[in-house]
Amino acid sequence: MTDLIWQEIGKGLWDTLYVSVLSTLLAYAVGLPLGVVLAITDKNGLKKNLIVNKTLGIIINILRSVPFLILFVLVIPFTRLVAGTSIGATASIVPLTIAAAPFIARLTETSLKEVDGGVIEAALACGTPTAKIIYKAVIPEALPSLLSNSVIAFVTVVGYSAMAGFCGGGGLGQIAIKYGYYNNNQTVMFVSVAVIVVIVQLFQEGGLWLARFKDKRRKNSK
Amino acid sequence: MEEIIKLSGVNKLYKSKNDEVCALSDVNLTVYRGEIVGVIGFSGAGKSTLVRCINALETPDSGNVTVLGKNVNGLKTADLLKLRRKIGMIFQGFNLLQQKTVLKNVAFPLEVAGVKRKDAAKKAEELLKEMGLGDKLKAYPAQLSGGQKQRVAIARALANDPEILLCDEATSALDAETSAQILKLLKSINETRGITVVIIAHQLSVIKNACARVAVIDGGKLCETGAVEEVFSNPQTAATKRLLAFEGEDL
Repeated sequence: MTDLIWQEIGKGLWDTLYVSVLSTLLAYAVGLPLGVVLAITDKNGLKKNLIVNKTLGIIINILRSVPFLILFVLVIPFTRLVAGTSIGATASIVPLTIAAAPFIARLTETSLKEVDGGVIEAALACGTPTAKIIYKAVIPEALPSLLSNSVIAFVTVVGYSAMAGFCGGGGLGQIAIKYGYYNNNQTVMFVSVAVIVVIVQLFQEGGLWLARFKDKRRKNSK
Repeated sequence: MEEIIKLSGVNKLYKSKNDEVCALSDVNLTVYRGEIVGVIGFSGAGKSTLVRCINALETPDSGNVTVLGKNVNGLKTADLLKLRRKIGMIFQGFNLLQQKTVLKNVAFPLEVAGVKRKDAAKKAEELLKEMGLGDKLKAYPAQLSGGQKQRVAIARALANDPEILLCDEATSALDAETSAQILKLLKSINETRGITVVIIAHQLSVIKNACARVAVIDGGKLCETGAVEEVFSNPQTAATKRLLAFEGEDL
């Protein structure tokens, strides 16, 4: 392995991190509110509205059923419109966000529905408006679960970003393909994949630690 | 005597695909300001539905619910929220926010009512001290015993200075001794603050301990209402007799 390749891997690591973190954050900006809407418009929700719930549910299911690489290609015109190009790390943020947002909406919905109905009833009984029930009671109560799920979302995005590397999306995925697969340099492929594994491990463990730390349902909570 | 809660001709039916359950059937109940009234019945008799009609957590299919002079089902959202702040409620499962400290739990109803954070914390602290929990302000509900959790819930229910306190099986999850302490606390709240208390229970001992007047509910119907000694010493209906037959047993 030459210095040049190490430099490439360094840049690839940076690209993967930057693309994955930014895509996850943007996907949360879209997916979190959608997850809230899914949870509260449900038949047992605070603002039951089955038309909104089913319509949104179907759209999310469709987006989630499209394989990521197909979605990547399908949204190229939109990616060009937003990012000015469809190639490179920054451009891959667009399809990654579109792929992750519906997934995050479902994760959020699940987390929020886990919140004890009794707590919501108590909040209703003391005269809390719906919006405040959501952001002052339901979301804080669901926080440990939301945090654990955000790790799942991030790891999924890292995986997708490696796939995006296959079609010019940059990052470690692209390096693994370019040097490892096309040039048959197994060492580079192995190192790139190992770096991805380390990223996933670090975020997974760190995220779960944070979720446990933030969870006050234990007797020894600080 | 001022009528603070009045249910007249209240009906409520729960429908599922192939079943209909009559939760409340032509219920008429008047609660007067300053009293402690009990509603007793077996599980599924409609007690919880009845108490939830008072703060409009349940909407009756027909009939009128008047609380503090207002028809609770005809109110605009903002007015309903204001009315609910005058009706405290405690529950069998305590229903505390698990991720917030005891202090934050009690400050919650104040904060959502628009009280400044600092003032809300101050009032919450006073209430918790009154409940004997001055040393638990920074604790989380998971670190408390059942009795302590219910006292936090009572402090929370009192935060907005309510005129009515609804207790939905508030002592059912507690042992006999703790249950007696909580009932004593509810009685003293009634006496010192003049808050009207409605106690829902399935145990005779709870009603006998705390209430002056009782209503017996069975199959969604209020079948007997009157002074506690009278109703229990001279039961008029089969439902009351059945309840008495189970006295001392955990139903």
